[in-house]
Amino acid sequence: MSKEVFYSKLKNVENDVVEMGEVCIESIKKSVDAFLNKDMDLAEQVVKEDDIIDLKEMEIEEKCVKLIALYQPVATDLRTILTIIKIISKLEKIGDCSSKIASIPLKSKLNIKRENEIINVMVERLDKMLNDAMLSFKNRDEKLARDVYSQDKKIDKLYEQLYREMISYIIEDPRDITMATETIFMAKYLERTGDIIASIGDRVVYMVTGERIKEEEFEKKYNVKKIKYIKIDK
Amino acid sequence: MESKNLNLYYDDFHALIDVSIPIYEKKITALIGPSGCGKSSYIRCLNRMNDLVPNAKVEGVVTLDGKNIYDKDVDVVDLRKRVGMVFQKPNPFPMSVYDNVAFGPRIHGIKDKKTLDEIVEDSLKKAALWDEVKDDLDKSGFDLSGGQQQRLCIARTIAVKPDVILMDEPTSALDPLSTQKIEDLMIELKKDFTVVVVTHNMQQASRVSDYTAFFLMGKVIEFDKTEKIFLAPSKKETEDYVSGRFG
Repeated sequence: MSKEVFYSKLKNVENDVVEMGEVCIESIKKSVDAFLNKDMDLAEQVVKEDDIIDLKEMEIEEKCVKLIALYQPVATDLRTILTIIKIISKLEKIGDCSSKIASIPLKSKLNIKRENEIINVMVERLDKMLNDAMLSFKNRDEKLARDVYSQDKKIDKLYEQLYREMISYIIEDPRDITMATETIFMAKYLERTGDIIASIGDRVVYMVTGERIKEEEFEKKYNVKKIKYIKIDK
Repeated sequence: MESKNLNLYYDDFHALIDVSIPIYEKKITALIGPSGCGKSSYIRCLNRMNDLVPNAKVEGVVTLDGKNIYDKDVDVVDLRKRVGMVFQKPNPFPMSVYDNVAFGPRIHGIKDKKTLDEIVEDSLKKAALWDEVKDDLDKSGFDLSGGQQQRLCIARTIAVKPDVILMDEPTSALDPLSTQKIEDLMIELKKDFTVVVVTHNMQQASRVSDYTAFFLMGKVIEFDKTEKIFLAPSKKETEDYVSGRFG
């Protein structure tokens, strides 16, 4: 009976996480819209919504702490709760990235609308990545979680492409320096968002299997079978 | 210590089926599983307590320092000196605290008072009971609290200097504070002894043991490091049991 109560509470918390993920997806899209269209109202809305994301993180974390304290979960149940605590912290950081992107038009003296295909593609890919990450979490889908992790490389490439494009604008016409640097800043937050979503994929793999993708990468890098400790040379 | 293809029958009932697990030296091995899964039967095979059960038949091998304890030339009294046991309910003898602890050494021929005094003090200290009883060693073992009685039984087991201590649900009859003292004691004991503990308390297994064996219907489903069993077990049955989904 108490186990049924535990699973029902855990299910509610999982739904909260998916809901928080959806808010974050919207928040990224809105912040980029606000940036591209110099939409000050939308930008202010995104900054305000960051508080909602922060509060949601605290609320879910508190629920997780209660589940651990009251039910002492082990094995998959424990890994699930630990994963949730990690994921919400990452979603909160995505909220911060959106808020920082929205702050750029709010602070900028430039009054221009921008069009950039690379940014559109980056947002589309991040949208899919975060949706997939949430889906892999909800369905405990290891394969999809690994796919999410690998999608980050495409975002990194798009960022590099955009960076080169902006540098070429600066070289061609110094009057574009502000526009180009603002765009690079904005894209850097998108690139950072990609890293964060990828690490959600890593955490979902841990939740499902108990293994870490990052650990596997370290094992390859240092050519060892089971890496446990890395000594840091001081 | 190690068991290989150990089978135990009570008449037609096959109580243990091909149990092969190592018991690592100076480590704590926890045996977990639902009631009737064979964990208590198994621990009793490790010092041949099942010899006392009529119609019990053991097949397979249990080695202690490479020697099969079921070989015909093994002296069972000597075996039980090397592999001591602490039971679920504290069972002090109806005699003084001192005599309880000195009982084993006396049986094994130690008569010198000074030597016995030293053994009693050392054993009670190792069992974390000395400070509570040192001024009244003549009082009856029955006058101690439940938790103290259990530690007295541990001291009695230690007194004959065993290699392995078997504990069959040693805290199930104790309150949480006494339980904690016994658990602290188990961790201290593994500095000198190999400990095998049967427990129904999952948290106890995860808190104190280094290795855990999960028993189900007479078989060992999984044996591994305790952290692996409680964080990412390999078998679904283990996962279901440690998570409280059954049992």
